[in-house]
Amino acid sequence: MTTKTLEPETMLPLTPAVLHILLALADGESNGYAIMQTVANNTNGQIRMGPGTLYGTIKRMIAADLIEESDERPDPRLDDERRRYYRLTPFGRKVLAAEVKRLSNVVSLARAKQLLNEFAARG
Amino acid sequence: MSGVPLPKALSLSDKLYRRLLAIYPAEHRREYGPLMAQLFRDQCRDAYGQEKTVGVVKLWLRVLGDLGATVGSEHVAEFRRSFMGKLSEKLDLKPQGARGMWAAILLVAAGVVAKIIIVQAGGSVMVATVIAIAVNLLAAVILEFTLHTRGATIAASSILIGSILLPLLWVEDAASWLRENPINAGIVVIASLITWRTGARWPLFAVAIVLGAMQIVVSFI
Repeated sequence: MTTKTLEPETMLPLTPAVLHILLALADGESNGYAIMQTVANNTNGQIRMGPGTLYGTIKRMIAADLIEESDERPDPRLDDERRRYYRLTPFGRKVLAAEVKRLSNVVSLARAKQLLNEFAARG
Repeated sequence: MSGVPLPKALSLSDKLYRRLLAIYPAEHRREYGPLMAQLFRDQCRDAYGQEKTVGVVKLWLRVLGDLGATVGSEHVAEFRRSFMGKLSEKLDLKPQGARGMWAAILLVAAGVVAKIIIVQAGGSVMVATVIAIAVNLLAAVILEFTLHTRGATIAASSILIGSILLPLLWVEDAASWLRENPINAGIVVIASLITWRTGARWPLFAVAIVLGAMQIVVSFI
């Protein structure tokens, strides 16, 4: 895939799975199991990815140059060497920033229309 | 790994899941099968730790849904990578963005116009239909090349099914075709709903192929 010439905005909007995997990797590299747990924690259990969804999405994200496999291990003694670690690419980081900005604009718009207050009042 | 034997629910689940991985495309299985099996084992261990066997049963319900939702899309993706990728490489085709979309739309329009002109001029409806379908399928292929880098699902699939159905704009054909195949409209609606709900494109591809084939068969009868 030729993402070198693509603008990050052309990848938007991201699917929830892609967005949350990018967010999970924003702090550093991680393996599939840790990504799945981080996504579940970050979304209060709303997004619980199964193995098919997680690795299908990871495969497409690698093809789109959003993430890449990492050769490094945090500490081989603490971890199973068969696990694969993934990290954001520079392009992936740009796409994540563009998506967060887009979502932030949506939230600003909702705030301007006082929709957030409405939701808060409903509890 | 520790030498402590696994509870039966976990070892059985592990075996069964590894068997089920066989329904994924071979390349996907080779690359990600061991990782998926390992992730499932981890999830099983967590579920068992929290709710024992009940937790494992709940996990299975989720994982079966995950399996059903991803197997079809992986097979379609594999087909696209192997067939469309090779074709693209051979012909040196590149994604065309908006130009590709316009080219596809113009081709679809050309197919419909060609059919109307041929039939109006007293030509064979069957020949006109086959030409229109061929032109429309070419348009669908162009759309695939245009959209595949974005992983677009609904747009490509919808236009693909639309391109198959467009020749039916010739009213007499459409009326007889629908009369002879009253269930088709329902199938299209159900396939569209599955696509919109799940994002998987295989239902529409399958329906597009079946309807296209049926249309050709009906033309011969």
